[in-house]
Amino acid sequence: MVFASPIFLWAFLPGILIVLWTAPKKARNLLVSVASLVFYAWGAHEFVLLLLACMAVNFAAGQAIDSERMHANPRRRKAILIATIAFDLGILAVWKYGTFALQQIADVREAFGGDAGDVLQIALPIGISFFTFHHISYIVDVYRGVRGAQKKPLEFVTYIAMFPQLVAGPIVRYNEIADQLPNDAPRNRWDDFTAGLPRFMLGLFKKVVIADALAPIADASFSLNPDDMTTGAAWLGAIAYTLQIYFDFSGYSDMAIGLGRMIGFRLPENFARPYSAHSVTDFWRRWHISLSNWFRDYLYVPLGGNRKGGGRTYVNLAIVFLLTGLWHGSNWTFIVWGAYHGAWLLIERRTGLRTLPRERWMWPRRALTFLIVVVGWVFFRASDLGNAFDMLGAMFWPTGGALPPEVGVALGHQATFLLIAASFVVLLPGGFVLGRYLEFGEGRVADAARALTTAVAGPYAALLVAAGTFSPFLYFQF
Amino acid sequence: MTDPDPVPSTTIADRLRVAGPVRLFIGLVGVLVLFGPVVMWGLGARAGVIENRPFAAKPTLSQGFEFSDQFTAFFTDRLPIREDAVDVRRRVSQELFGEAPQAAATGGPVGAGSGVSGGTRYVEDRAQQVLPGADGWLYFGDDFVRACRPEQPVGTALTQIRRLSDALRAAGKNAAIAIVPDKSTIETQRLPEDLPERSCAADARKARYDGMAALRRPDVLDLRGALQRLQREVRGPVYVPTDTHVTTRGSAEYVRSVVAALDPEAARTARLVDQQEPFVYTGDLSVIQGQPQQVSEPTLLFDKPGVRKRPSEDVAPITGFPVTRLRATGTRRAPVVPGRTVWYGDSFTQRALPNIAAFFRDVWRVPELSNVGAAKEPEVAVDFLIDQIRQSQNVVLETVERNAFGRVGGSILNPEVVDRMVAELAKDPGVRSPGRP
Repeated sequence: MVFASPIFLWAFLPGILIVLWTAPKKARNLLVSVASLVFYAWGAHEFVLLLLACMAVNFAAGQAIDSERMHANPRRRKAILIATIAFDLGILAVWKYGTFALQQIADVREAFGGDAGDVLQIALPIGISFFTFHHISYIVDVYRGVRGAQKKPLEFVTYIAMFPQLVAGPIVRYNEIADQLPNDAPRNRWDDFTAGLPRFMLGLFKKVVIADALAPIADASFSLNPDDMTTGAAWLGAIAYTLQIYFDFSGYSDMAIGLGRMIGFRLPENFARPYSAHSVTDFWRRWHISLSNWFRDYLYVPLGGNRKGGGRTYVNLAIVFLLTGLWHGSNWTFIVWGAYHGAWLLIERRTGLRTLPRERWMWPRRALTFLIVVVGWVFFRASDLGNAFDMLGAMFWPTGGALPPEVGVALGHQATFLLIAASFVVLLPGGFVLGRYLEFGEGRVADAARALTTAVAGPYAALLVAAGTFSPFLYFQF
Repeated sequence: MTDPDPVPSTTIADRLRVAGPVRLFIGLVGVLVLFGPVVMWGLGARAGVIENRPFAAKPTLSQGFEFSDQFTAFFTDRLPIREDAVDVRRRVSQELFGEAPQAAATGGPVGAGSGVSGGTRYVEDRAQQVLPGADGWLYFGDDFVRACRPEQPVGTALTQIRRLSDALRAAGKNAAIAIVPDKSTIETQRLPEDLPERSCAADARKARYDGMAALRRPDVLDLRGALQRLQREVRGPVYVPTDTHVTTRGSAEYVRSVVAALDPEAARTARLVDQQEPFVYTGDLSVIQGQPQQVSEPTLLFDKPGVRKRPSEDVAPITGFPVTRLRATGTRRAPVVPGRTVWYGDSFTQRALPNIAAFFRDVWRVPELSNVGAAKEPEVAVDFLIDQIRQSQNVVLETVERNAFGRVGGSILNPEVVDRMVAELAKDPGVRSPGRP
């Protein structure tokens, strides 16, 4: 089930809200847990059993690690931690990267003249990257003593499976939400609903109206045969994708944060004007913040961070960004994308660019950073490395010709208007985040923005969701 | 990773100070948007069938995990606001932006670790689009997709036409191969102004029709020429504004052209008569657009005095693959095409059946290979067609231009289908037409 679907908007969400509003407050976690598991099973089907199994293992591990007996046995305690992390990463490795690994082995075999054979296709459970990282963050925080283990299974399930963030984040660290889990935390359900709704509507608008309109441009450009690729089409595709991924992902995060608020939870921010960044380092403080914080706290810092000298710092950064790339998908394009960003971070660190004052050469730096990010997205979006290099080749080596019809069709009036309008996000000041403004802004302007988003932007997006399911049976008459 | 220029903190502090009336407004709108459709349904509002297919069936628990998929389809079909939503989307696209609505992208968040990159849906999406032209005319996106991104080169399609022509002639058949032009080939004056595919579509059409002319085969009919002449004669359109098909007048011209190619005498002795009752139907393009519009045309039927038509018979060799048999008895003064005829054709032929009936002693109409039933058992369908050809002295193969040149799957010009037909007819051609050696 996805948020931008009729079944979610008009069946699941109203259903859970009605139940939460009418049931006793102390039933919240039970209701959210059940609803979340239904939400997950709706799309992932039998993979809900995998989620339950992972939750059971991590919950039990947390209990064990935090027990008095284990505190007296540090080696055993650490062994449980390592085993649990290995279990979590193993689940991720098998389900998400198994087919990729088998394909690489087959390719190597074929390269040496052997028979590649059929590669086992392992289905990818929705959200596995997210709930794995939630589990690891929980077990590590319990081990480190940041928080005690969650004693109540229901609250643990609520934390891990909470439907707003289960399949697409933000990655919520246990520490960030632990105080909100008890049912007796004071809250006002009407306040929660009216505070979260504008944020949710904003996210729906960003995803459905903007991102989905730009997707066909990117899809058409990236799918061109190399012979049909032109410089214009390549740049259009790259820019369209740069904007699509931002509005799509940040829109989804806005929906998640808005939904969380509606059911009484405050989820962390995930985006803060990333295309207003003045350096790649700054970009990673603004893009998918919860992920970069996770990698910082659970990989970079344990590896030593920047505390072991320059050379080791660079190695640590390289590892972090290679794995960041790999986390996004099982394809060499994602690994290259991660390595590409890692390389730029190293360059900025080495040259001291990252410590330059923000306002120094701000606009040229913002423009250059944006260009660097756009090029990176080409790798991210391409179907394979060959596709990426074809696109980049066309972008930077002038290749004339009329716009291919696929791109021309995708670049309709509406899409062109939205492409131009969405481009202005690049020019906005770095400190203004609309989603946060809608949730926390004060004054009449903020009230008007909330009202407009809720009453116009959101409902229009919802209508497009309903209309988007329209698919007439063509061959009836033909 | 310490930062000298920190981004605003992500810890949440509730400083919300929303004015009472605004909060009330937001809450009420939210309740209306989220609960409105279900309340509407409870008050009796029901969704109409807008996709020319039945609603999804009710889900059952015995389906296991598939229950959720079935329930989703069941619920979505019955959402009361869908029709209005489709209408709003169409109006915004057409009236504000002057274009057809784009198909919606689907799926979860991009960039969120799913590792999935989307491929282009240009062919699938454009093929389903209805393009608004001038004066309320509608055109089919499929025309342009198949012109600009055909599944096989024009030359390959022309080769298949030539091979079929050769095979039918070698088998001693009296044959006609009819490629019915796309609406956008004939009715060009109301095409959308800014059509990205205008240039490549024009190039494709030129290649197609120049290629067909270059074949110099009397059995390959120039229906484009016939319909353009008819346009001049009636001083008006020969296609229906909100439908992909020709008018009843155009349909009659199609039939007359085919019959004239098979038996000029049979064609000459027929006259077209207005039956004085309207032929009413719903324009197929208006259905795809989500705004069904009725079309009313004069019912025109060929009259051949003395010809007696027998009731049609329907047989279904494959489920969903209806074959219609029509028979008529002619006279010396009003002859019908003698012998047995197989007429393979799509919906253009289906609509023309009432007129086809007047011209043939015994004609069997076989649906196109892209028909739903044929798609389930393609080899059976092809073998059935071959068998019909064997049993017939006269053979008509009709397909619309976009499918002839733009598609391979389900097309009579699929090289694999042609290979089979040529091979089988070479082995056993069946009956020969009296006029053929």
